[in-house]
Amino acid sequence: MRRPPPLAFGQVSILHAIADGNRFGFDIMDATGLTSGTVYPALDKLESMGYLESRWEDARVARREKRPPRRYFDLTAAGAQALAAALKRYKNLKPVSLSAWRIRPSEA
Amino acid sequence: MGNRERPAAPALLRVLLAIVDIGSRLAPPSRRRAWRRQWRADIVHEWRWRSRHPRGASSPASLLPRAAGALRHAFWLRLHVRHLETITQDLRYGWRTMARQPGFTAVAALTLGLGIGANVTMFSWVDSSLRRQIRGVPDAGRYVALNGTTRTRADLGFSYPDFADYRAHRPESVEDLIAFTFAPMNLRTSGDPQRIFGQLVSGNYFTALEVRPAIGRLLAGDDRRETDAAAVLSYAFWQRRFGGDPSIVGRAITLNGRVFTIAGVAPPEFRGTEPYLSLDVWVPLALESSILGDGDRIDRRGFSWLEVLVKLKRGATLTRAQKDLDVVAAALASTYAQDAGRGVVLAELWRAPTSGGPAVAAVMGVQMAVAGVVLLIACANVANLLIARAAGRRRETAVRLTLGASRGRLVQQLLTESTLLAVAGGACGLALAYWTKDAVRWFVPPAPLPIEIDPALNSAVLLFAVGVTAASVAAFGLVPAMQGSLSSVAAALKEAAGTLTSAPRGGRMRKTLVIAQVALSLVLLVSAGLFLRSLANAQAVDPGFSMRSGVLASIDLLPAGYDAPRGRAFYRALLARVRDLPGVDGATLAAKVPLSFGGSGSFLVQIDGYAPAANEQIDVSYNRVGSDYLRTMGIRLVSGRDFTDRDTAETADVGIVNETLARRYFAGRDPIGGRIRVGARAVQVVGVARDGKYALITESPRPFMYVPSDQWYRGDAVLVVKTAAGPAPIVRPLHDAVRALDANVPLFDVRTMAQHLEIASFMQRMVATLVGAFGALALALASVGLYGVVAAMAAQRTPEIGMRMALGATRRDIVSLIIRQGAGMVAIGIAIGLTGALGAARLFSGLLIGVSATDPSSFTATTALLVVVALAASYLPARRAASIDPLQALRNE
Repeated sequence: MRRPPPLAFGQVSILHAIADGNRFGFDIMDATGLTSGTVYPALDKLESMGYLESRWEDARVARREKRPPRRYFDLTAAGAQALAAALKRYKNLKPVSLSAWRIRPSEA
Repeated sequence: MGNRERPAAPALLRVLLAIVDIGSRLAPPSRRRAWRRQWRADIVHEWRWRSRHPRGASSPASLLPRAAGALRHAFWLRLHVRHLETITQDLRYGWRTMARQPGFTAVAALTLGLGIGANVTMFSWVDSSLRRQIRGVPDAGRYVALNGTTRTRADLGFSYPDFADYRAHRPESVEDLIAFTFAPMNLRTSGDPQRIFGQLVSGNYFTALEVRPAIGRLLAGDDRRETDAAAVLSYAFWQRRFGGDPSIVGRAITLNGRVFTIAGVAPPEFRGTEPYLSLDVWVPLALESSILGDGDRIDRRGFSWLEVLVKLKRGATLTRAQKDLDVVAAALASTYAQDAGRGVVLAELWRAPTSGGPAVAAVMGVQMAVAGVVLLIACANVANLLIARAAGRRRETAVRLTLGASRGRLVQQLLTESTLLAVAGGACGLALAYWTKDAVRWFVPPAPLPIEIDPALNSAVLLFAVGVTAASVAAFGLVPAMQGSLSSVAAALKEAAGTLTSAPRGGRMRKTLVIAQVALSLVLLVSAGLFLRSLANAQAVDPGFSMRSGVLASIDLLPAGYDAPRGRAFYRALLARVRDLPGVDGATLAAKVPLSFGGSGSFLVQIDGYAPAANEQIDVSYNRVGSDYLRTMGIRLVSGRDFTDRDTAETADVGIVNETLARRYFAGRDPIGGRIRVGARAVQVVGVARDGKYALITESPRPFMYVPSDQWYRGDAVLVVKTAAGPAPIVRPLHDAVRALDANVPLFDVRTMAQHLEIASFMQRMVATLVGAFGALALALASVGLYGVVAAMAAQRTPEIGMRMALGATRRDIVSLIIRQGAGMVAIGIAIGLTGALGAARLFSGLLIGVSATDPSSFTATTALLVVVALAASYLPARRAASIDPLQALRNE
């Protein structure tokens, strides 16, 4: 299998923010300090690379709050692996627990 | 709960949502809904959250730059959607486009389907007639035909001793050789005898072909010893005649009067090794004298009666094997006098001289080429439709280009649509081929043979269909794709506005396509014209005999147990009876009626007074005929006499030669009284007959001789009865005459001379019919294409036409204006087409009979037809253009 190119810092920080519990576009912007014009395309790109998957919020929750359901993002196993690898390079990102994604040890 | 903000906030929210709405226009269509939903939800949520927590980090107003980021996101998506989206989205989009325009889609798919279907059908015919000559054997490609050659011929068979020698000394490159000969037989179980068709085969036949029995065993025996009178039935015959009865093995059947034990049944796929024929039975070569009945031939070197197939060793090439077998042939030629001057030639089965392959291949080649041209025309039509549609989508294209969609992306989308269309066309084509493939049977001559050509949509044919579909995508899909997306944005936008001055875009390409269509269809039409004339000539060709009204019927005395003296007496009595029947103008016998396709027998002869060149073998085809043959058949006697009832086994051997033989071997001498030595017999020439066609109407004159059937007796003969009136009333009395002589002798293959002559021109009929049909199809497609383009051009010129009419142009002027545009394209197309037709006709001139490849009447007649149809196709839109209301036209401007 072809090795994917290393992630840019912006992408890593977005994955990091998501791993840290920020699931929605605006939360990720706040967490990373990146602009919406950067974050939203990056989310689409990361999804197309298979590092993220997006879903629509539960409609009942949204209805209760009288607003449309939002799109939220979650790491895939591949995304968690890529993040784990990248974190070794970007030491200044705060450590984050990736245990929930069950990365195979050999690739972590 | 934040009551203070309420009046101001919805306004802000409205602005934010308006930005999202604007942005959604930027987003690519395939993602637009999801994008809008995502951004609206995020904005609404964030706005609420911030409104509720006014003292939080940022105010709702700071959402504005974030909303502006939405525009960047949308734009980015538009640029990158190609990388994000899979082909399925393109397909979905393409599918929607197709579904939105069902009329367009149906026309395009059907047009393509006609083109693809024509090709698939033709290929299935090629596949069944040329590619699959031997079926039901593994590795069929390893079998090649071996023929004997002399200085003048390359289609000779082999004697058994020669075959045995080739087999014994077969080189490394040859795994094995098999020998066989075609043998019609009479089957006798109970009741009436039945005519069946089989082969005498060498003992290694089935083992070499690696055929396994369906039931019982197959043949494997010694060729020289008549120990094993066993017969193998074909699966179809077993089913047909014995109802698939498994207890058939070991039972006895009587073939040509000899009892055989049924050894087993061949598998269903295996039909024997005669091209185009599906055989009923196989018996050992050793029983040749029982089946063929004219003496022991198995040990006679120099008596060529066997066909031989070579099984190449795995990986060995034909060239290698040819070289190796040449060495064996040279050794045999220097060892045996009968083999002096003889060589061998190997050929793939489809081009083997004895299989009729080359003739069939030539015809099939023409048909494939013609089908290919039809597909090209169909593709040009669809390309034209796509360009016309692209014109309608120009604004969409322009907008997408403005927004930064790459040309590659647009091309990919258009190609996806073209592919979808082609797949639909391919499906139509396959359906069409499924219905038309069996039409090949219309062209199979009504010969008294078990001819079986069964085109099938097998994997090879399906693969071909996929290839043709892919090729047509390349042919019609790329043109509009390039056309549709490579234009400059400014030009596209300007044209989309559609002004009086704008030149019709895509116009040049469309014109080119129409010109190409006209040219190609003219090539087909001219070819069709030539083949039609050729067919007329084939039916009118002088075969050298003038009998046209009469009856032919076959008789075989061997199975009824006749020996030569009794047989001669039978035939003499039969002829006497038949000649006495009312309405009969003459009756005679022939081993073979002229124009029966199959090769005639041939003698190796010496001619007294003719000194052959070194290694020259004089090979003379002959026919065994009855008394009064020349008169009955209407063959002109140049000099000497016809055979009479006094030319019998007891009198001296006599023969009649044709003009070519007389000219070639009796140059300057009177052939009458000359001697032709056939083996130990000396045949005295008593007559010279006019040249004729003996096997095929296309053959050129060759040396030929007639010998009396009484002197060269065989049990089988064709009874030739010439009638003054129609042939029908004579059929019953014929049967009665035979029955009166011997009730056990059947009369079979009763046919009229007219039917027989129809067989003779079946090839010409096939080509003429198909090329004619394809030519008509091409003309129809091309005129639809022309109509479409002229109509589009007329529509584009509506404002101009309105202006002209306002300035005083009459309707006539307008009609001629528009027609002139169509006529210009047609004229160029005709010029190119005539050139192309001249070239094409040269290629197939070998298939034409009595008509030159530059036959002026075919060229002018078909061109005239094309001009008439083309003018009609331009006149319709022209008339419509002329009937517009000028005020209306100008107002629209």
